[in-house]
Amino acid sequence: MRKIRAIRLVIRLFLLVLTLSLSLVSFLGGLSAVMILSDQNNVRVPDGEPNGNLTLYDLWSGGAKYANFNHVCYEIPFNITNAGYFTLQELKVRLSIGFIYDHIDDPGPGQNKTYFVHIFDREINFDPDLSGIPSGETLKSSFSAYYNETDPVNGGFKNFAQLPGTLSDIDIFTKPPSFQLNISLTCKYSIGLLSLRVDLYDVPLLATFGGF
Amino acid sequence: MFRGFIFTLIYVVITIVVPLISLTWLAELGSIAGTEVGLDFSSRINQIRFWVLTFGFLISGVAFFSFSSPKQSIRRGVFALIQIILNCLYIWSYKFSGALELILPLVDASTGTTLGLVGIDITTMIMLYLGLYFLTIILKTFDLIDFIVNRKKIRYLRIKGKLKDREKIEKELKKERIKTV
Repeated sequence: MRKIRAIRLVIRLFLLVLTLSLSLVSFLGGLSAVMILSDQNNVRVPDGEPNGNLTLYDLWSGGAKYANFNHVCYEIPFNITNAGYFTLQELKVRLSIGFIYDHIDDPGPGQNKTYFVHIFDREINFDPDLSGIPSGETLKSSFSAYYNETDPVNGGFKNFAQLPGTLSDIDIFTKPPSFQLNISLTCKYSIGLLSLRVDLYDVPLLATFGGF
Repeated sequence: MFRGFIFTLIYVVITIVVPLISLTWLAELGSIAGTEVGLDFSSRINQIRFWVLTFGFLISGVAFFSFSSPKQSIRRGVFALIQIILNCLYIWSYKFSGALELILPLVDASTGTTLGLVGIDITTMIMLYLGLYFLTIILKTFDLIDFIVNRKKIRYLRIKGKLKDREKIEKELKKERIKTV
């Protein structure tokens, strides 16, 4: 064999090993995704009853909007089991809560207009040190939402000023107001080669505008 | 010729059969996390299938000519280089057909309402494959240059190899003749 063909053979073998390794990682990553998603006990959001206080109006003071919302908070426990072969990295959970109501006499008498106000939007990174959830391990944690008057961004609750001042402006009889909860989970798998995302719309939110 | 057919079949399995089976399985996935759901894949799957079949047949066809050519021949070098470039385009077609960033709506099978969506992004993985194939392009280009520059030497070695085989056959024939005599 010519010398140059021998060098070429070595390079080819090296490329073959790289390609086979990448294919094996891809295959195991795909298989892991199926193993995690096929069992409902592996991804439980919420895991149990969420709890908190989403009281926006004081029912005992003429139905006025609260002057401050320091009492507003919400907590959703969740449970994620990594049933795959690789470490589940960069797990991020985003919660978005909307308040839907009909404003009375808007735009005119006898007319009700539906409004959607985003009152909460925040993403929490549950893997800040990039250690991830190792294979076979379970992450049991909760998403905590709270109101911070001086730092609404970190708390996540916002746009309370857009809400009507009193309950008398809201149609609470024919079409009572409600909350809408959207949850989004993102993570990386297979040493960062696969990105997974699960969005859930209109998850049942056990809360009323007048408190729990 | 026979070698060409074998490799054509191998490439048909790798580039067409396996991806189509995977897509069909994904489209028929009936449940996620124990919940009966339907994945609305229908809008994307025909586009993905089209590009997989197009490039798959091209690659398999070129594989026939590449692997049926004599070793270290210029013809083989040319077809091998074309094949690698087609492989890169095949992988790239997954990107513009929408197969790299699959976003599938989660639909409740019983009520038909949209519960959410599942997104799988394999762009990083495919870019890594493309990087490996790029290295292979360099290797095949080097091969082609080697076959062109050293074509006389390669031809001489090929003929020498055939002559050696002929000498071997003639020696064996002589032995048999001696035995019969």
